[in-house]
This record gives sequence, structure tokens and C-alpha cells, in this order.
Amino acid sequence: MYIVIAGGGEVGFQLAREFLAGGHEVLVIESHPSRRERLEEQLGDVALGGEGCRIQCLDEAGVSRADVFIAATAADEDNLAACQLARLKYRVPRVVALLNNPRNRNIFRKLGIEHTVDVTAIVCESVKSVIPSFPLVRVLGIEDQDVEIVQIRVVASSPLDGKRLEETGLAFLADNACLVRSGSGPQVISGRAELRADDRIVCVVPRDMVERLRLEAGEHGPLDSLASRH
Amino acid sequence: MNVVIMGNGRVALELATLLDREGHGVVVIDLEAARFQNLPHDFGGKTMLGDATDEEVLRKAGLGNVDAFIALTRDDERNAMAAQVAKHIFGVRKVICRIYDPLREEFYKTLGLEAISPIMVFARLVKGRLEE
Repeated sequence: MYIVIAGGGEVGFQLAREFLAGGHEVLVIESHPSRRERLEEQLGDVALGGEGCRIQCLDEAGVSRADVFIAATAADEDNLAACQLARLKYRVPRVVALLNNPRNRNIFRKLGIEHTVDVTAIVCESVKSVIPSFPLVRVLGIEDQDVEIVQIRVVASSPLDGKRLEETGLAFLADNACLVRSGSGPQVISGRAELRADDRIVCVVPRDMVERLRLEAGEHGPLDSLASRH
Repeated sequence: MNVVIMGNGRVALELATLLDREGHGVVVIDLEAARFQNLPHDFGGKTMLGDATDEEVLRKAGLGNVDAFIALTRDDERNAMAAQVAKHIFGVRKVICRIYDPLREEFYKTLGLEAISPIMVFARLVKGRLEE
């Protein structure tokens, strides 16, 4: 595949490295000379000077024959412009935009950029996943289906702790989710499973169910759950 | 007519003042409060501090119920993003952008946005005078 990446920051750099290792043809459009130098030094002849939201630059990059276009700059308006040009002018079959501001997800979608990666949200969720007092982590979204993979942690002395799954507000997950418990391998969770602190339940649910899961798992808000530990 | 203007450079300033003097409702949105000081003392319109590419900011500026949205910043990508939000999300009938960099003309055309390049307009004007 020919993959063009607009933006050679940390994300663009790592993507380029992985794609090259996978045998793909890669070009990174980057306006900062120092970032281009790093790309060239470590990955070879893969950097093009310029901005991914400029037509002259996209022409030079040969975007019309690209299979994938990824906009990974730090400015959402530039990512939107670049992706719209890639889609509308160059007819690239697969266009992906990184989002810096999670609030722009809706705008990108309505303006025809369906595939967005919400970088800020992913960082927030990853941080929460390693803090034991947060019961719910949104692991991954299956964007075009409005479905999410969610991890629920049984927090000590939460409404879930010490109960059977069927006695909790999460009873509907019986035989429909995965129980991850330290010391034993992942298994399908049954309604009779007794929940213990630090158990993890991983499930796939429609996006509009996530807030309900959050309440059932005992999270009233990030500040509440942190405060209760002091 | 109710008009929302994004950006507060010289062009935005003149346009906001002209429309205000003719009795139109004007809201100017800018990222920097200091630039509002350039508006005349008797300016009767509203000023709003914020990022006009943000859907919430535009909603607060009353985009659901205006006749026109004009994007006049020096950043073509920001102009294009805000203009598209105004046109496609809020359904504003008249949306006009300033082309800051004349090379971006085709970009606006690709997106189906009405855009004017002050540089090109001025160049053509001068050329016309030469040919008189």
C-alpha cells in the first residue's frame, strides 16, 4: 500500500516506522526541518517538506495514488482540511484524522471524515485504567458501528464488591462478557460468578449504554471516586 | 440582517463597523480580547471571546438564527473549518470566507465554499486602473 501521513510528530513518526516495517511505501509530509531530519536519519528517504493541507504539496506527494491518507498534525483544522482534500480532490479510499480536541469528533463526522482517532480521549482512558479507583475504562470504539469495548473494574467496597453478578445492575452481562481475574485466565462470566475487588469485566456494548455501566459500577464522577479514598 | 464575523483584523473591523452603522446585528468572535480594542468606541454590536471553530462557541454566538457567517482570520484552514460548521451544521444560508493565501483558492473551491481573496481583488483592481 502507499500510505501518506501529514504530520511527522511522534505519532506520525511511529506510524511511518511501523508501516515501513510492514513493507509499505510511506511518505511523511512535515514542515519542520528538524523533524524531517529525524525521519530521514532513522527511516530513510520518507520525508517531504510542506503542509498536508496545501494542494501543491499533496500533488507533489502523489496523493492521488495513495491507498491511505492519515492526518496527524497537532492542529485539528489542518487535519480536517488535509483529510477533506484527500477525500474530495484525490479520492483516497481510506482517510483517517487524528483529533486533538475530542469535541471536534462530531464536526469531522458531519463534514464527511468518518474515521477519527481521538488521541486525547485515548490518553485519558489509559491513565484511568491504571488508577484503581476508576471503575470504568473505555478501551476501544468500533466507530462505524457505534459500539465500544469497555472494561469495568470491581472497586473495593463498591456496589459490585462481594456480590454475585446476577445480584448487581450488571446482571445482563451474564454469559456475555469476559471475566479477567489475576491468577486465572480470562473466562466467560456467569451470573453466579462472585465478584471480588480488582476483578475486571470486559464487554462489548452499544455506545449509549456506557453511561449506565458507569453508574452500575459505582462511579459517580472522577472527583467523587478519588475523594472517597482519602 | 444578523451577521457573525470570525476574526478581528482590519478587514473584519471595517466590515463589522459598516454593518453596525447600517443598523445590522453584528457579533464579532476572536481568540484575543486585546484585538476588540480596535473596534470604534460607539460600536453597537457584540464581541465574543472564543474559538469560532468550536461548535459550542458558535451556538452561543447565535449561529442557529443568523443570516450570514463571515470567516476573516489569517488562517485559511480555520476559516474553512468554521465556515463549514456554519454552513453544514447550523445551516447558515450565506457563508463567506477570506482567502488569506491566494494559493488556497482551489482548496476553498474543492470544499464548495464561497471565498474571496483580498490580495487578488486588489491586484485586479490595480491592473484595471492601469488599463483605463
